[in-house]
Amino acid sequence: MKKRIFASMCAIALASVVLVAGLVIAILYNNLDDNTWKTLRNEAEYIAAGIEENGLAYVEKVKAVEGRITVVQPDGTVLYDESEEAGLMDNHLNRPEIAQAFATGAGEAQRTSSTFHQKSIYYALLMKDGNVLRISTSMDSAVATLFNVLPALVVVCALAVVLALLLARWLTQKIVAPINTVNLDAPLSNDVYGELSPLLRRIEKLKGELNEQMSELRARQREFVAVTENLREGMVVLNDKGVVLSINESAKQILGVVGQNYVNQPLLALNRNLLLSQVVDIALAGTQQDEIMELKEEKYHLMASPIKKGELTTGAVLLFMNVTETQAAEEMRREFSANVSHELKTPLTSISGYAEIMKNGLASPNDMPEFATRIYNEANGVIALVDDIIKLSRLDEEGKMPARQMVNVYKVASDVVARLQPMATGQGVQLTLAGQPAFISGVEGLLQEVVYNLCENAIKYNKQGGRVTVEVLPGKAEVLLRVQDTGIGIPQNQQNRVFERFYRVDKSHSKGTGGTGLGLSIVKHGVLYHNGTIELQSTEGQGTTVTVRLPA
Amino acid sequence: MRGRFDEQLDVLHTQMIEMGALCETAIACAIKGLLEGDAENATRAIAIDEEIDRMERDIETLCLKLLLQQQPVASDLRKISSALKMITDMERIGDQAADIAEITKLNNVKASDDTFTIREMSMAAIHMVTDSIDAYVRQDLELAHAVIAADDEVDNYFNEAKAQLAQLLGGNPNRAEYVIDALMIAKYLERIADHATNIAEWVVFSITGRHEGENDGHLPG
Repeated sequence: MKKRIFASMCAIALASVVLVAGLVIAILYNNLDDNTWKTLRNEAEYIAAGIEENGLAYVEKVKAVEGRITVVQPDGTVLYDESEEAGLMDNHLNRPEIAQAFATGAGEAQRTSSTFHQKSIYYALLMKDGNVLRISTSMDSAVATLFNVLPALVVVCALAVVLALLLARWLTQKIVAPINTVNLDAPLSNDVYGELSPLLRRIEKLKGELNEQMSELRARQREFVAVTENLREGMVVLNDKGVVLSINESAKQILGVVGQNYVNQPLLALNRNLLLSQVVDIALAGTQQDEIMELKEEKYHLMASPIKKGELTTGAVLLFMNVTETQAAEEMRREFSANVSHELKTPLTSISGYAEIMKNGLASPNDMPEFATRIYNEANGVIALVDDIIKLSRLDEEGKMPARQMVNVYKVASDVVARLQPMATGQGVQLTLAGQPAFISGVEGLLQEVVYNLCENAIKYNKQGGRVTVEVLPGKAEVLLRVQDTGIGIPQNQQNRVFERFYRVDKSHSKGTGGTGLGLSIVKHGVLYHNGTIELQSTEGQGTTVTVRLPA
Repeated sequence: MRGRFDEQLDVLHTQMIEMGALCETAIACAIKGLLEGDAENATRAIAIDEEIDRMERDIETLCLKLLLQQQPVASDLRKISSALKMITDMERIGDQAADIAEITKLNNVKASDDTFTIREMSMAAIHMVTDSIDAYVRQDLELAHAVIAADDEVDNYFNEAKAQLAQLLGGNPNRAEYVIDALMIAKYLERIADHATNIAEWVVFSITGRHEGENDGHLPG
C-alpha cells in the first residue's frame, strides 16, 4: 500500500512539475521571442537612420548592441558584415528576409541551426540608398531553453519525489498505524478514522462468532478429555499410519509409558508387543478385531475398531479392558462347577451302589439297616452340600438378601452355642461363650451361618478335651467376634487358602468329619456382605483363632 | 521433497522398531522354549527368525533407496547408516535365538537340569536387547550407555557358566552332551548380549555422531 501511495503521489507531483514547467517555459519563451523581435526591429530602424545620415562608416562605429549587422546591396553582394569579411560572403539575394525587404521594404525570417540549440532571427530593412540593412541575432530555441531549465527541473522533480516519499510514508503510517495497533479484544474502542469503522465492526462481529465457536470447541474438548481420562479402560486413537493421536491416562499406564512423549509417535514406539501390532495392522486394514492379550501379567481385552470415512480407513481406536479379574472369576466358576459335580457325584455314586445292591436282593436282611443308614447319611450329606451351595449362590447375588435390621451378635452367638453344645459334648470339647450384647445392622440368618460355621469348624477340628471360646465384644465402631480353639491348627502355607470353596486342609480327614468344604467360604462371604474383615491366626497343633470385625 | 523424505524416514523408524520387537519375541520364545522345555516356543522362535531375515532385506533396500535418491547429509545420513549397521546385529540376534531353539529341540538340555546360570544369563541378555531397542526408539543416550555397560555382566555370567559346566563335565563324563549344548547356549547368549551392545553403540553414534568411547575427531556427517 505504501508503494502505491508513494507511486501515485510521485506521479501527481512529477506531472504537475513538468506541466507547470512546460507551461511557464512556453509563455515566457513567447514573451522573450516577442521582445527580441521588437528590439531587433527598433535597432534596425535606429541603425538604418544612422547609416542614412552618416554613411556606411556609421555601422563600423556603432556595432550592434545585439546581433550582427549586415548590409546587402540590391544585387545581393554583401557590402558590410560585422563579423565576417564582406568580400568572402556569398550572394544574399536568395535569403528570404532580404528578398522580402527588397520587395516590401522590410522582411523578417528565422532559421533554426542544425543543432536546434540556437535559432537565428533576422530583420531586414530597405534603406533609402537602396541597400538593405539586416540585423540578426540568435537566441536559444525553445528546446534549448527547455534544456537550460532541465537541471533545475530535475532538482525540483527530485525534491518532489523525496517529498512524496516522505509524505507517503507519513500517510501510510497514519493509515496503517491504527490498523496495526488495533485492539482485537475490543475493536470498536479504537475507532480512529471513519473509513476504518466498517472493518472494525466486521472484526467485532467475527470475534463474537469466533469466541462462540471456540468456547463450543473447548467445551467439547473438555468433554472428550473428561470422558477419556476418566475411563478405566485404556483408549488410544491412531491415524492411518498407526501414529498415536491421543492416548488416555489408563492406556498410558497399561502400555507402561507414563510420563513419556507419546503423541505423534508410532504405537510400536510405545509398546512392542507383537500381538498388539498385528491387531493394529488388521484394524488399520479396515477390520474390527477383538483379542485377549497379556501385558505385564495382566490380561486385557483389546478391541481395535477402524475409523472409516466412506470406504477409506483413516485410523483406528483401541480399547483396553482389564479382564484379569473377570478371567480369574471365570476360572474360579469353572473350577467350582467341576468341584460341585465331583462332590455331588461321590455320595450319589455310593447311594446308587447301595440302592442297587438292595434292589437286586443281594443284601441280607441283616445288612439292610446298615445300608439304609449309609444311604441316609450320604443323602444328608448331599442335602447339606446343596444347602450350602444355595446359601453361597444367594450370597453371590446380594440383591436377594432379606433387609438389614439391628441384630444382637451376642444373642446370635448364644443361640449357636446352645445348638452346638450337644455336638461339642459328643466330641469332648468344652464350648463357652463370653462377652456382652453387641448390636450391628445386618441379616440375622447370615450372621448365624457365620458363627455356626466358625464354631462347627472349631469343634470339628479339635482334640479330645479341647476348648472352644466364643467372644463377642462391642466396640465403638465395630463389633468383635472371636472364635478361639485349641484344635489341630492350620499349616502356615495353607492359611490363605482355607476360605476358597471346596478347599480342605486335610483331604483324607474330610470324609470322617463330614462337612461340605464350603463352610469357611460361606463365612467369608457373610462377613464381606456385612462389610467386615476376617483374620485368621493359627499355629499347627496348638489351635486357631478367627477374629471377625463387623462394623456397627 | 523434504516431506517425502521425512515420511520415508518415519517408515524406516517404524520398521526398525518392528524388527526390534521381532528380535525380542524371538529370544523370549527361544528362552521360554529352553527353560520350559517347550518345543512349540522353540519352533516359533525359528519361524520368527525367518521373519527377521525378511525384514532385514526390506530395511536394507529402503536404506539404500534413501541413500541413493535423497543423498542425505548430517544426522539423516547417520540415522540411515546406523540403521544399516543395526539391522545386521538384529539379524544376528534372530539367528542366535533360532540356534538356541534348535538346540532346545535336541532335548539334551532340559528345564529340570541345572541351568542355574543360564537362566539368569538369558534374563540379562533379554533385558539388554529390550533396553538397546528402547534406547533406539526413544533415542535415549543414557539407556544406550547403560546397555553398553551391562555387557560385562553377561560376560561374567558366561565365564561362570563355563566354569560350572567344566566342573560338571569333570565329575560326570556321561553328561558330555548336555555340557556341550549348555555351553553353546551360553555362548549364543553371550553373543546376543554383544549384538545388543553393538546396537546400543550405533544408537550412540546416530545421536552424537561419535563412536562410543571416542572423544574427539568428527566422523563424516
